[in-house]
Amino acid sequence: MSAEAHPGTPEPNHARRFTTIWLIATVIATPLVILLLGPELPPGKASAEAAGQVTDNTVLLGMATPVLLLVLIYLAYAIIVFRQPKGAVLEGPAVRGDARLQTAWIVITSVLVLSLAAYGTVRLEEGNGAGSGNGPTPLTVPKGPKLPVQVIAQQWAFTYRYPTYGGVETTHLELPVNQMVELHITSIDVIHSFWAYQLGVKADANPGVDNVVFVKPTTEETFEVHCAELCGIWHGGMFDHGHVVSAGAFEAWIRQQEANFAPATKVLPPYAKTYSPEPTRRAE
Amino acid sequence: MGVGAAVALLGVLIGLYVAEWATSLPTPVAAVSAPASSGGTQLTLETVAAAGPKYSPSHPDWVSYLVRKDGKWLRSTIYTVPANSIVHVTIYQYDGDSGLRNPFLSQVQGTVGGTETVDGKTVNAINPEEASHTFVVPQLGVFVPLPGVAEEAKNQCEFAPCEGAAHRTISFSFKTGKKGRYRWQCFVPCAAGFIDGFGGPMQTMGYMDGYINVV
Amino acid sequence: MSTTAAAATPQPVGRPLWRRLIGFNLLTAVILGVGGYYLGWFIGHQVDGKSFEFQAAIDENDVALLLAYFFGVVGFLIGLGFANYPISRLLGRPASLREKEQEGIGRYFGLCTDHKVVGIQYLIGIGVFFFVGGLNAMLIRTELLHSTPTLVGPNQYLSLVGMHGTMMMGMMTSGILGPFANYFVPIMIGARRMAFPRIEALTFWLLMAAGFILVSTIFFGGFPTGWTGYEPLNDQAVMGMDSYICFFALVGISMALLGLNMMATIITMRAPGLTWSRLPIFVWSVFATSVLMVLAAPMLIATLLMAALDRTINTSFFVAGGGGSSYLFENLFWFFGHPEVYILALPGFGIVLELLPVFTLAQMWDLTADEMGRNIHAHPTLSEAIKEAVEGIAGHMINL
Repeated sequence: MSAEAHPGTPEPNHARRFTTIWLIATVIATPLVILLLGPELPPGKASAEAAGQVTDNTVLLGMATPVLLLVLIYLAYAIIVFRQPKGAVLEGPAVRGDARLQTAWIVITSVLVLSLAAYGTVRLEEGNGAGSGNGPTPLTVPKGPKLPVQVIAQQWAFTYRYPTYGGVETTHLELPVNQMVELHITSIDVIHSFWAYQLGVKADANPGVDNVVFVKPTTEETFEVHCAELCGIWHGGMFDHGHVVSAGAFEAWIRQQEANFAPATKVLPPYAKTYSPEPTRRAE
Repeated sequence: MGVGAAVALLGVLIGLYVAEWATSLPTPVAAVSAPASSGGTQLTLETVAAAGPKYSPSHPDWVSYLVRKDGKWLRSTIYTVPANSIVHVTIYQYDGDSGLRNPFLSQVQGTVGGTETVDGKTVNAINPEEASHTFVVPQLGVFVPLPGVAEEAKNQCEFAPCEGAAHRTISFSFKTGKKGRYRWQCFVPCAAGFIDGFGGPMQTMGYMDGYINVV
Repeated sequence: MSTTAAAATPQPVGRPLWRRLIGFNLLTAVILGVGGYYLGWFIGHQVDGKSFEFQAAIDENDVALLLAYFFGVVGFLIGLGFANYPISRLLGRPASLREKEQEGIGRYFGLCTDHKVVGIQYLIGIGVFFFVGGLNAMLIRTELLHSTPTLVGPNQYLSLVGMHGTMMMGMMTSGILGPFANYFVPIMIGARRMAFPRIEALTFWLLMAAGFILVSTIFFGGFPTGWTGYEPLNDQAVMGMDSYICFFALVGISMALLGLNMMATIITMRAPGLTWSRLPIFVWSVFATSVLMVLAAPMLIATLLMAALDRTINTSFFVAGGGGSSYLFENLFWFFGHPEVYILALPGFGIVLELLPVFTLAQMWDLTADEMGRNIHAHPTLSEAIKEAVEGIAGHMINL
């Protein structure tokens, strides 16, 4: 195969052969990956943020496919084409380096990585955090009306407070569809993390910190809520189901919660971004 | 040769010890049949301020739940109840109050009628400052706060089993559905000396956390 | 051994086994370690004061356990003979480079300053603790065969997960540098020894003591935080958490000393004519890893000291209710944690780059070895930048 094995035959232009193989594979594989695999990627399309994450993952996959194919095809090509003929022990060509090639792969890799970093940053900020926590002062805030919902994480359950509905606290999360929701996630003891993967939301709940997440659910469905930061013995038991319902059903539900939980709402502290309930340090 | 055998024996012993440690859980206690008038099964529990050296030699000062079995008190938090039935629970509350961190949990939820009976009076919520412990099964939606013994009460209990000391009697009932293993926990920061009151007994099976085995 | 060699080596005449066991060896180390443990435990129980009032309610004495571990490790090291040289120097005896030379397999079970022996000790020692961590993983997988809790209680499961992760991460920090760098770097640079042979042996025995301490956590209730040890759950945990703190502190000390030793050896003990640009690529990668170790490990030790203070004398570095911040622990821990993952990766890169030219019979592509080394050295600075970027995902733009 190589010139040393068959003296007399001209050395094929390995670079051109390899590039041709790689280009054909890329042209076939990348659209397949983007069109077939892309839409199946998690976390699904139940909210605008989740759909955005699927798009970003697809872009990442699309950019990664040619790189992966380059590496794998090069590996296979080298193993097959440059294999030592049986019984021979031949040294490789005395090439110490190729400045152009090395510069090229450093430059191309840097361009790829930096462009992805720029893309990711832009998508993060135009998506108002893209489903992740922004801390107490988000850099970009979506315009328009937002439904504030506070997620209180404690050991070992999530409860939810609706400040615009009298500060009522509930044990289940229900959200109206097609409405931008402003989640305020906080904890009253240790670090937890609110993870509703179908909505594309994951944000840490730290004690004394108000973590703001923007999410707009777009389909009426049941989503799972898990705790995603190890918080003690029942960390795995801190899961729940939330619902995205129509605006009318949401109004009916919240009125019913206000009625059901009237005794509890009377004794709740006034709504605040963070809470420091007793005992704040060691219990007496 | 001898060294190898000794090392192997040591390894087996260590392995057995670790296996025993990993799988140790409190003994499950079954709920007994309730009187025919109410149907279902009856579970009798008590909460104590300190388990005492008899029930907890390694942690005598930890708060704990105990369950009555055959007339005697046992320190166990794994209870077996039948599926699709009603379970009556009576809790003798011997501990003083610590107060809830989240006052939302002072309202009774998920029981039959949405209420509990405290010393004969039926209520649907308690004063959150008076909460001493809670009995909460989140997967069944059962949230029951337990008010504590007043600070100035006489004859407060020191160590389990607390017969005859000052206490509150709380009873409620809840319905079980499908078979399964459900966790239950206390939500009041009652673990004295720990951060936020949630360490130690609050995070250890056999004290303030357990399983409800619905069979 | 040939018959002539056997005849040449004089056998100790008539020394019974029990006489040979007296001395600075592993048995003495274990005995002094246990003695030190009880001494520390005793001292811990005498310590009292207003800050310790909560101990009566929690039935736990973290001060006692931490002091017990500390004195136990000190006793262990004294028993092995690590204090002999400092004390002999204090008494005015001349400097020396090696401990008493030994022969035979007994060298591997004590303080030996031969770098090849230390390399083999590391390999076997880390392998043993990896096996323990692997057994933990098997227990975890067995529990996970069913979706509902079946075999292992929830406390123990959490502890198993934490023990597995912590043991693996802690042992792998020195996983390549310990066995391979200790063995090969002096050979590759043409030195007869490492720069500090006794410190080299110390790093190994510290790691062994640490592994044992981590395994002992099951006697004290385990720890619920997983290998990252996040506060404030760390502060809430029962006594087993102190085993984690002690383990990582000892691993951190071992790492820092190992890195220091490597750097000193590579900088000062290269053979004449072995310039930086002629160094083998593995030695370059070891050097870069050592820089990372020396940077990252002390941060871990300091962080764990703060966590220990929170647990014992009731400070609130990391408890929000007392004015601290849980983010502080996250940030400080990952200041170590991100360089840690590069510590895991870089030596492997170096080894692969050593192997490839041999088996492909082609020269390694590099402008010079110096260039490659410089590329590898970009890692320590990049790794800090990457760590800060990843921290952003935790959702905070807060100034600490």
